[in-house]
Parts: sequence; structure tokens; C-alpha cells
Amino acid sequence: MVQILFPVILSMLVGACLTLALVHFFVWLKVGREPGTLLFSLGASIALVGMAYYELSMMLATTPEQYGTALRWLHLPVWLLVVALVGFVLSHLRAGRRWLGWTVCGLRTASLLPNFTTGVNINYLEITHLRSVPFLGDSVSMAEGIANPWMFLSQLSLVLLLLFISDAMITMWRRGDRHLALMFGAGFVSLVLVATVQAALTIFGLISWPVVFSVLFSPLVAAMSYEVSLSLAQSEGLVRQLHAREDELSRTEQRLQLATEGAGVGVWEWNVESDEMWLSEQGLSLIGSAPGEQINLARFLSAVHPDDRETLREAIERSRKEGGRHEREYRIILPGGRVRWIATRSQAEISPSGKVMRMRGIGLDITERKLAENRFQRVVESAPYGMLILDAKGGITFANRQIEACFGFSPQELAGRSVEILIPERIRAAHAGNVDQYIGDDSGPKPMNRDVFGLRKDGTDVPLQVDLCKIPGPDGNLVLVTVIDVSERRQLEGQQLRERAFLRQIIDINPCLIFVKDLEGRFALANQAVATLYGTTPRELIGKTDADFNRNVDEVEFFRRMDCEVLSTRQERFIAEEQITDTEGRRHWLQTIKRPIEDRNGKTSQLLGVSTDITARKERELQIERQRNELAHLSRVTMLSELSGSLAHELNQPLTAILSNAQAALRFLAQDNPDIGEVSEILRDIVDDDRRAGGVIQSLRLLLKKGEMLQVPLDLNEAVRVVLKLVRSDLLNAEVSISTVLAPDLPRISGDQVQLQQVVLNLVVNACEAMSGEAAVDRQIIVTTKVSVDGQVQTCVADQGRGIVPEELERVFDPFFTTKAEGLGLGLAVCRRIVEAHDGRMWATSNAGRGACFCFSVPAYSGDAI
Amino acid sequence: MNSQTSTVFVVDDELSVRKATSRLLQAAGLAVSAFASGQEFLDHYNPNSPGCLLLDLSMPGLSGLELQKALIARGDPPPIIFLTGHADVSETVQAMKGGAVEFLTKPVEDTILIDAVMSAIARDHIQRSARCRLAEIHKRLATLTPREFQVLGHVVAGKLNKQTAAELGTVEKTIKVHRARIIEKMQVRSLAELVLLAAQAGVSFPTQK
Repeated sequence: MVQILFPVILSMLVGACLTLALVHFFVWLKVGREPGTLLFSLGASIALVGMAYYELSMMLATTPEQYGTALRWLHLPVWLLVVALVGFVLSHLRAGRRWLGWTVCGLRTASLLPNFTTGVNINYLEITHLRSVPFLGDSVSMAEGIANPWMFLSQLSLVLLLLFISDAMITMWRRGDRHLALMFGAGFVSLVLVATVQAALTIFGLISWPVVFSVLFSPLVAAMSYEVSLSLAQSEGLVRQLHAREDELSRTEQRLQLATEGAGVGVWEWNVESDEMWLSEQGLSLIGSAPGEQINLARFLSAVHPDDRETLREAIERSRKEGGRHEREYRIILPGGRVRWIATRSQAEISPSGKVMRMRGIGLDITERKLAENRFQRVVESAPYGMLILDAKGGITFANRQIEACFGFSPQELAGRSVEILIPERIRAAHAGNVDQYIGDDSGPKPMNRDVFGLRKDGTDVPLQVDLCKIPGPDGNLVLVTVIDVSERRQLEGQQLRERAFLRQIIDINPCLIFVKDLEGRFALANQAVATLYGTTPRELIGKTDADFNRNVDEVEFFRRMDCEVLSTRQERFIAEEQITDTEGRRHWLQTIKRPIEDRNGKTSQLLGVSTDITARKERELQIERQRNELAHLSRVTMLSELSGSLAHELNQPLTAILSNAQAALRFLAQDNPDIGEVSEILRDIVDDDRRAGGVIQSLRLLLKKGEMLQVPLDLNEAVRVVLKLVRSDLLNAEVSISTVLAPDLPRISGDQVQLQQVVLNLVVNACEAMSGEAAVDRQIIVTTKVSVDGQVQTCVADQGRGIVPEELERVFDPFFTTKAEGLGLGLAVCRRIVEAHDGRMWATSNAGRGACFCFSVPAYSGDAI
Repeated sequence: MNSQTSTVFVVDDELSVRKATSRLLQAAGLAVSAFASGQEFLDHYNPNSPGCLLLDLSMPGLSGLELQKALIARGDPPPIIFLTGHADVSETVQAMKGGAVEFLTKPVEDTILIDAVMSAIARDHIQRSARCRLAEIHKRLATLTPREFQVLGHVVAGKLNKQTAAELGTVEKTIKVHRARIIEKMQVRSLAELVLLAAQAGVSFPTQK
């Protein structure tokens, strides 16, 4: 009878377990969630049923064989229970070390092998006999026999299971799931401990307790079942709430997704424990991963730019330890190799134990912003001047690299400092006022130019040009300060000033008149030479005109006319000679160049003039001209004295005719019935002859006259004729025949009649003398006039004399060169000077046959050229 | 004086002077023939026409002196009066040596010129009559035979008939006949007259040893 109690308890337990198993099974079937948990609950319940059955069989065994078989099969549900436990801890409680769990399962499984292969079971090698022991007032069978050495396998697995669970419980405790840890940890550990110890003692026969694992484990299974049911019930409730909020959530989620995707925001979460990362689609695409790809920290870091990777890793490590909010910026290398800048903001989720469990946050593509920043950076760094950004209090929030060149402070040194350290002490007070006023003035941004001094790091001053530009910001106005070191410019300006002064000296030291005049003829620049001439100072001349200083109206008018011509034609003008009267009334000769000056717009509004005082040269020239004229005169007189015989003859002839005519007339009149017609004719002849004589005298007087050279249009043919008339008698005496080839339409030339006649006369006389040694028949002179190929009027006198040796062709024109015993040797030299004074030239050739030819050519009179 | 009127030949290259001089001489009643150059004068000049030459010294082409030379070369030049603007000594000497009658300087007084011309004409007249006589003598001499001319030579030399005959290898009587013929042909009355004529004609006789 007594034997019925324990089987009844066990049967009830079995019933309860089966019911639980069935319930959970159906729940699982229906809900279909947390399959592991349910399965393991089911496994644990069924295992407990199995265990109860086999333990009962053992207690009721009558033979050692029956006992052994039941014991052997008991290990099957035990295995099931262990596996279910490990699975429950790992999957439901999310704790415990996975490897340890697997080891426990493996060992348990391994212990089944000797159980079913060696001897009776794993506990006994041989069950010697059964003995009946009292248990709860009943008598139950207990085996006695030799312990199986393989039993350590199952014992070891139980010890490891203990460790596994303990470890899992510690994790849970730390995680904050303290009640679970306590419930399961304490339960498990104590039960396993008790079961293990009891089993060992029983087997070694130290105590006489039947194996009742099933009963011991049943509360645990109940607890598991309770836990699962509780969570199921909770989850059911939650599910309903969830369903209710799911719609709203999905809408919110959609909106959020739209917003995040629209904003390019990626959302992420990182389970620190499991190292699993979840990223929204946008988040995945941000780091260049395919949708649905599994991401962990290592995979994530592999996408980070190598330069940023270590820093980021360290930062993550730090925040994993410390928690809190963090913001970071780093680069991602996209699959194509492109670089993307990402900014993330993270928030750590901390367990009640203070441990960081999760980190979540958002990620943003900031590549554009970074590029803009980079561009800004480059613009600012490549700007040729220093830049500072000051906050409203004058603190330096930014400084570019050029600032270092200006002040000697590096941008790092300046960051956060007050701008005052860049301002010399003496002007700090004034500056502070200025800055306050400037920043306080809220009328909008306005650039300001300032020339101030800055203080360098080494304590020296530096001249600066400073531009201020207000940048309105959310925290008050910022000021962008642009700083240019103008010390070089200052130096340059000083140098320019010195150079200007030097140039001014050069201009003033120059004896030439140098001036610049404007459109109205006012001096814009004048050097000392101009001032001296006008008896004033260069400064006084500025803005005044020639008329203010020069009383000679004609000169002033001429200057003005030339100025206007240069300014209107925009052509440089060379004025070979002009005159200017100084304040003392002296007239100076000037040679002037006037050149138009273009201003920046390409307009001609000024002219530059440079005049050289050529008075001395001009006087010398006049002196030379006077001397030449005197010499020419002297030469003429000499020549005329040589020709006096011929000249006398030329006068004698008409005088002779006049005398004879007059006396003849007297005789006619003395006759009876004088022939009046005859007498009239005689008188007409007398008049003609008298005129002829007068003409000769006139020519002579001209030749003998000592005068200045006159320039009048004249006919060279006529000059030749006059000359030949004068020398006719001489030529007759010298038995020289003369012929002329005079061009009929010879252009007139501009020149001095007397001097040109002198030249022709000289040449004819020379030709005549050159032939004095020749036979009379050969004494021929040919005088030719013609227009030469270059348009000049040319006169040649050719003789048939001895000719001139080539080496003397030029020397004949040298003064005092003569072949005659009585000649001075000046004739040809004077002739050449006369011709050159007429802008002509004179040369000699020696005839191919015999004799020489002397030619001169002078320009045709331009007044006839029209 | 002479049946033929004397002409004054004026040669001057210059028209006005030529014209004036011619007028003056004409006014003095002289016949004038004017030429512009020496060559022109030579071309027209007839030595038989009496007169004198008024010549300008310096002229183109033939000068005065050259014309003088040319006339002398022709023989029996007319008397020449030179007119010149300026008197050159060498030229004057040359002209005078050439037999110039006068050397006048321009301008010349009418009286001087006319006097010079008149004396020149007079000289021409004398020369011309002298030349006439000589020509007559020569004409007579030309009628002599060579033998008679030989004999005339001996007669002029003052040889006796006997001497002449001896020298000529003949007899005295023949010489006498020749002498009578010579006197007849020479139209002289005496031997002295014959000797004078022969001397005038410049007949020279080879002197015999």
C-alpha cells in the first residue's frame, strides 16, 4: 500500500508536465513565435516526464537487470533536459557562453555512448544486487554494484552545466535582469548541485536514496514554464497594444523613413554585446553596403577611410566604455573608390548596471558640406592676405596661414585668443572703441579699409591695411578681418618717392627745355630750364601758359599753333628752328620735338615737348654763312679783276658804237638836207647800246656787291647766258670756242643769282685756262643744263684740256689747291660751298677722251612744282 | 686820183660797232663795205679793188691778226687799220710787223679814225700805182728771150759788150743787136733808164767770177 504514494506523486508530476507540454505545444503552434523557447519548454517538460517514468521503474525494479535497463534509459530524458536547459538559457535569457553550452551538450551526448555500449549503464559496471530501502514510508529498490568509471563524463557535464549557468546568471545580473538571474541561477545551481551530489552519493552507496531527479527538477521546469507563460501573457498583451500602435508606428515610421531618406539620414543601432549592427536602408547605402547585408563593427570599420579608421575605432571604444552622446565625422571609401564624408551622432544605451548595451544614432552624408568647407578652407588659405574671424567679443575664432606671415603667430596659437594681442599697446584703447562701435552698429555688413599698425609676435610693429566685413550670425555678428602686410608697399612707396625726386633732378639738371602742356596750352610739367628762361620757378609755371611769360605775341601764337597741330593730328612734330624771347628780351633759337601723350583712355590730352637751345649753333651758322659770303665775294672780286680786260671790252663795245654813232649823226646833221630817218635810226641804236652798257655795269655791280645770300626763283639758263656774255671777250682772246646745250624747259631753282653766276663764271674761266696749252682748234667749252634723273637742275661745264687725274678729282675742291701759278686756289672751294648752301652738290669728272667736266646740281624751286 | 673809188672794208663781229663805224665813214663820204667775220671778208675780197681794211682785232673764227697773215700770204695786202678794245703790246707789235697802218683803241674819235682811213687809202693808192709800174716792167721783161735776159743781166752789171760776148761765147755784134732789142722791148731811151727799171723789178743777176 505504502508503495503507492510515490508513484502517485510521480504520476501527478508526469500528468502536470504532459499537460504543460501540450499547452505550450499548442501555444507554440498557434503563436509561432519564440520557437526555441517553446521547443525547449516542451523538451524540458517531456524530459521530466521521461525521467519520472524511468525513476519509478527503477524504484519498482525487482531484478538488477530491470533496474539497470531503467537506469540506462533514464539518461535519455536527462540528456534532453540538459540540452533544453542550455538552449533556454542561450536563446530565451540571452546569456551564457555559447561554447560552454555546446560543450555541456556534447559531453552529455558523449556520456550516452558508454551508457548504451559498455556494461549495464554508465553508472554501474555491474549491479550486484538490489536492496530494499525505506523511502517516504515506502520500501523502494536501490541497486548496489560496481561503479562505472565512465560515469565521470556525465558528472563532468553536470559540473560544466553548473559553470555555464552560473556564468549566464552573472551576465544577467550585470545586465540588470537580476530577478531572473536569482530565480534561475539559484534554482539551477542548487538543484543541479543537490542532484549531482545525491546521485554521486547514491551510486557510491554512501546514502540510500533513490534517484529522484525528476522531482527535484520539476520546480525548475515549472519556473521555466512560468517564465515562458508570463512572458507569453505579457507579450500577448503587448501584442495587442503593439497592434494598436503598429499602424500609428508604421505611419510614423513611414514619415520618419521619408524624412530620414529625404534628408539622407541613415539610422543605425549597434548591439554592443552581440556585435550586431542594424542599419536602415539609407544607412546601408551611406556606407556603401547592399540592402540586407549583415554588418558588424569590423565590417563597418573596413568601409572607413584608412586614415580615419584607427581614430574612429578608438573613439568607439571610448564611448563603449563611457557611454554618453557623441558626434563624429569620418570618411567612408565607397565600393567605387569614391570618398564620402559621414557625420554620425550616437547615443549609448546603458543597462541598469551602468553598462553600455547598445549604441544607436544617425548618420548623415556631409560630403557636400565638407567639400564646401574644404573649398572655403582652400579659398581662405590660398588668399594672398591674412584672414581672421572674430566673434563679438574680439576673440579669434579662425585664422588662416597667411596670418603667420603677418604677425608671426601660427593659426593654432591664435585660436581662441583675443585680437588684442595683435594690436600694439599704444592704440589698443582706441581700437577697442572702434571695434565695439563697429560690431555694435547693426546697420548691416560694410567693408572698411583701414591703415593701421599690427603687433608682431616678436614685439615689432607692422604696417597693415585692414578690411573689416561683418558677418551676421546666430550668436551675434562675426567680423571677417582681412589683413595685408603693407610694409613692402610702404617701402616701395618710399622708393617711388625717392625715384620721382631723382627723376625730377634729372629733368631739372637737363639744359633742354622739358615741358608737358595740356589741351589749353597750360603747363602740366616744366623743368628748371623753362623756369629759368621765363624768370620764374617750375612750380609757378604749372597751370600757366606761354602767354603769361612771353611778351612776343608771334612766338606765343606759333607755339600754340604747333601744340594744337600735335594734339589734333596725334603725330610727333619736329620743329627744326623756332624762336623764344626770354624775360630779359633776348631771343633764343630752339630746336623742338613735340610728342602727343596718350592718357589711360587712349585719348590725347597732353603733349610732351623737349627743346634744345641752339642759339649758339645758330649764331655759329650765321657766322659761317657770313664768312662764306665774304669769301665768295672775295673770290668774285678776284675773278673779276682777272677778267677786267674782258669786262672792259664788253663795256667798250657799246661805248665805241655809241661814240661812232653819235659822231656819225653829227656829221649827217651837218650836211645839207640831213637824212632825219637815218639820224633817228642812229639814235635808237645809241639807246640800245647805252642800255647794253648799263646792263654790263649792272652785272658787274652785282658781282662786286658784298651782300647776304638771297633766295629767289631764277633761271639757270639765263645765268649761263649772262656769264657767257661777260667772258665772251676773254674767250675770244684765248681763242676758245664755247657752245651751249641749254635745256629748253629748265625748271627754275631757288637761289642767289649772283652767287650762282659766280659759280658758272668760275667754271668757265677755269675751263678756259685749262686749255691754254692746247691747239686753238681744240679749245672748246660746252656748257650744258638739264634736269637730272633725280629731278635736280644740273649744270655742267666741259673742257678739252689736260683733264684731272682721278686722285685729284676731289682735291680740286680743297681750298688752296691750284695748278695755276697765279691762282689763290679758292675758286672751286668757294663754288662748292655756294652750291652746298643751295642744298646742292658739286663734283668733277674727267672726260673719257680729254678734258674735265665740272657739274653742280641744285633742287628745283618747289614753288613751280604745282 | 684814181679812176676807181676806194672802199673801206670794215670787218667786226659785233653788229652795233660794225654798223656805227660804217655809218661814221659813210658820213665822211667814204664807200664802206662791212663784213661780220674775217672769213666772210676773204671770200668776197677782190685785191684789185682799192681801199683799206678796218679790222677788229679780237673776233671769233679768224682773228684780226690771222686775217692779216692770210692777206699777206696772198700778196699785196690792202693797208690795214686795227681797232681793238684794249691795246696789248705783243699784239700791237705783231700787227705793226705785219704792216699795219694804224692801231686804234676803241672807242675812237671820228677825226682820228677818218684821218687814219684817209692816209691808209692814200697809201693804198701809192702802193697800188707802184705795183702797176712794176707790173709794166715785168710785162716788158717777159717779152725778152732768154738770151736777151742773159744779156740784160750783163748790161745791168755794167759789163762791156766785149766782155759779155766773151762770157756768152758769141761776138760783140750779136750782143749789140740784143742790147738794141732789149732797149726797144723795154721801151727805154737810155741804158741808165734800163738799169733803173731792172733794179726796180728786182731783177738780179748771178755774179760771175
